[in-house]
Formats: sequence, structure tokens, C-alpha cells
Amino acid sequence: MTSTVARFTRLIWMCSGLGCALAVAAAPPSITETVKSRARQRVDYGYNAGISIGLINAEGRDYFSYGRLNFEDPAPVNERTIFEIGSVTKVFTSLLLADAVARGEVGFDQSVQSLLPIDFPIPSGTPEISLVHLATHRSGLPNNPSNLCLDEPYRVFECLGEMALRQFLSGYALPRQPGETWEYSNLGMGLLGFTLAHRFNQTYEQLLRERLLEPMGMKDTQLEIPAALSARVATGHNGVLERPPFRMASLGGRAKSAPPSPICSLSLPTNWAFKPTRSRRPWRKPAAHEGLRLNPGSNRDSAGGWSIYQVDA
Amino acid sequence: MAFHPARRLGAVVLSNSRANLYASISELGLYLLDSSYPLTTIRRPFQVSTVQLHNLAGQYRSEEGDRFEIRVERDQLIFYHPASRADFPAMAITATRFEALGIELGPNTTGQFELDSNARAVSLKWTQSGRTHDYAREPDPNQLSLRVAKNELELVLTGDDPSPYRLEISENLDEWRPADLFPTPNSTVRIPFDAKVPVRFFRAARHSP
Repeated sequence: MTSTVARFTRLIWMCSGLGCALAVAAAPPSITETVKSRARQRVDYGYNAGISIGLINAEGRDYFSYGRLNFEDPAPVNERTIFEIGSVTKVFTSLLLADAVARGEVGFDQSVQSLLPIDFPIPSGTPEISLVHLATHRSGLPNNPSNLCLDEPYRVFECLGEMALRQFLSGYALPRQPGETWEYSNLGMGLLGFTLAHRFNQTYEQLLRERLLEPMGMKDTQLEIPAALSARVATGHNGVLERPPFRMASLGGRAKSAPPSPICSLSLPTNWAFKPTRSRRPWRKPAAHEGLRLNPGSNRDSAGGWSIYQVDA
Repeated sequence: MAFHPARRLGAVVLSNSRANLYASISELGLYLLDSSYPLTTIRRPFQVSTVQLHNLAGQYRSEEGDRFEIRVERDQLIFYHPASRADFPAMAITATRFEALGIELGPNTTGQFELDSNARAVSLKWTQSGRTHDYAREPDPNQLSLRVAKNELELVLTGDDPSPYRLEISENLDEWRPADLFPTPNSTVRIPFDAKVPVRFFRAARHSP
């Protein structure tokens, strides 16, 4: 492993910079013309409807946006445009776990079953499925349960409430032991959010808001799209086809209806740890990312919602 | 969203388009953090006229029974695969070769059309993961459109089904007489129209109005 690591000199953590405290950098960042040109190409050639880019370091920020909200609205996207973020939500869920570990409230290796009611049907394994197994896609659970509602492609997760989750898990046998193999799992990450929400007797949305979004001033990051923000929301596309937002089940059990997947904009990090001394409620750096990391030395790694890219020197 | 721990640099790249080989914006963020990260060459789509795109649209079926329903929306060819209930927008590489975009398809997934002498597609070769499958175009189902213009009823029949049709007119809804004209596929006819006089039309073979 040592020799493998030695071949790489730089690490890039991909997905979100939410939990990363930054030190001083030399100069404000600048989005290069190469990147601007590539973004324009993607939009002009029809591959993307709109693109917004933000670059940030301790000295400042730079933004670049190009394209439109949708085909009916010529309004351009900008750094305040709100986008659906889909599976990037997994970073938030993993950060909730890292934060709870840092607070001493749960442990990475704590079994999921120990945090849920005794009758909750977590598939048995050796070892038991732990929180870190869920956060790193190594639980042995499949990508999705088989009892999704498949009538509409963008509402497949909507019917996955607690009852459906229990129903699927009660009939599922792990094909391998937890920890053995990486397999991307929407179900596993959803179960992690559900378990943490249950542990703290809150909905997932409440937990997210109290522990991450409000302390970091991320006012544009929501699970429901409030009316005040609706004009800034970009319509999702698949090529030229407009598509509705994914609607997600309210696994926390208290929401009255299925919310769309979370949204956010480039203007979210008003209390980001880039300026920790100015934040009234500074973000506490989560416990070591290494605790969530797996497969050190491979050229693409995952660490609790992050993908780690190691670039050859 | 990406972060480079050594450079203390963060990047966020957001888009309102589903990811595919070219719409994937991850590489822009990674390149901003480290310019040694390779960028995909963005292919400029070949320009295909709307008329020609519509000549490619239709339903295609393989010998195994797999199907594609191909349509045109906003001057883009869309491959709908009923078995997976998924739409795949496609970008033109040439006038007859298109790359289907969809992260689940993998790179270099293409549809190659064969045209007849009227520049209308008759078959499709679908290549994915290095394997090619043949699809034959199915006859387009007939569609009859009606338009009333002043005292005329305009009937336009499109499609490939050569079945004979009949058009009948009645004064009393009990007794019907054949009209003198009826459109053959891909033709237009106009007949006098009186709003008080009902007309009915049906495929002669089925007698179903």
C-alpha cells in the first residue's frame, strides 16, 4: 500500500467542501478561460441547459455562469440560481454521521440495529451492519429496494416510506458479509439518514437544518422549494426534455407529503468555514475523515459521500 | 462539489441537465482544482435538418422483440426504450449516425440508420458496449388529421398502413352513403363540409368508425 500511495502526490476530494476548514491561500481564485470555454461549448452544443461554477479559497471567490433556466424561460442562470442536487445529498447524510461521531453521540462502528427499535428488520450479518458500512456503500444492501414505485421514473422513491422499508428489509438476505465489497447503495444511505433521524428523534430535514444548514448559513439549501425561491429554481433537463424533480419518501415519518430531492445554489456557504472567525456559530470540523475512508491507495476512493481522486504526479 | 486539501481550494459546479458523457460537469470542477485532470473533447453535433430528423423518427423492432420508439423534440432525436422506460437524447455524429446520451448506456453508444431512396430510415443498428444489434423499422401507424376551413373539410392521412379506408356521409345518422374521395396514406383531400351533415370514416377492413 505504501508504494501505491507514494505514486500519488495530490488528492482531490470530490463532492462537497462543506466540512473542510481552509487555511490561507495566496490569492483569490480565478476560473480559467479553458473552463469557461468548455462550459460554453456544453451549453451551445446542447449538452447542458445551464451551468454555474463557483471557485473559492480563503482569499475570495469567483463565479461563472452560462445558459438558461429552461427552454421556455430565456432568463440566464447565475450564481444565485437554485439547482436540484440529487445524490450529492449523500454528502450531507455522511456529514451528519461524522458530526454525531465528533459529538460522541454515536460511533462509526456502531451497529444500525442498536439505534433502531428491536423489531426493525435489519438483515443479519457478521459483523452486523454498522453506520460506517452504510456511509461507505459496504453494507451488502443493494442499490435500491425492489419495492419502489415504478410507474413514473422520477417518483420511484416516493413510496419508500418506513413501512415499505421494513417490508423490503424483512425479506432481504445479505448476499455477502457487511464490509466485504463496495456496492453503491441509495438504500444504504437512505437507511443511514433514517437511522440518525430516529436516533435523535427528529426528521431527517430537522436534523439537517439544525446541525448543518443553519450553523453554516446555507439558506438556499432546502428539501422543499419555498415560494420565495421558486423563481430562482432551474428546471432539470435530460437533453432537450424537461423533467420534474425527483420526489423522495419522507423516511423521517413526519412530513405530510413526499418532498423533492434537496436543492441548493452557489450562494449557499455564507457561514462556510472559509471564514471561521466571522461565523457566529463556527462549523466544527467533523472527526477524522479517515474514519470513513476505505480502500486507501486505490486511484478512486470513497470517504463518506466523497469520492477521493488521486492524481498521478 | 470538490475540494483540494493541499491547495485549500474548493469548486462547485452545478447544472440543470442530467449527466452524460458530455453533460458531466465533474471534470470541470476537478480541472479547476488540478489542471492536469484530463478534459473530455466536446463533440460539436452534426447539423441535421428537422425534415431529415423526422425521416428517422418511428418505431423499430429487433428480431428478439426489443423495441425503440424514436421521436423528434426541439430538433433533437430522442430514443425511447420501452423495456427500460427511459428516454435517451441523441446527438448527431453524421446525418445518419447518432450518439445516444445516458450515463447508464456507457460511452460510444450509437444508432446508425439506413435510409431508402427517399431518405427515410428503414433500419437501425444499435451499438452499445462494443456489440451491435439490428432493428427493422416498423410501419408507421396511420394517423388521420382533420381541419375545417370555411366550407371544406381537409383530411390528411399519414402513415405506412396501406389498408383501405372509407368515408361516409349521412343526412339522418341512419342511412350512410360513401363519399367520393378519401385520402390514401400521405395524401390530402378536401370535401365540402356542412356542420349539419355528419360524416364518419373508418378502416374498411375493420368497419370501426
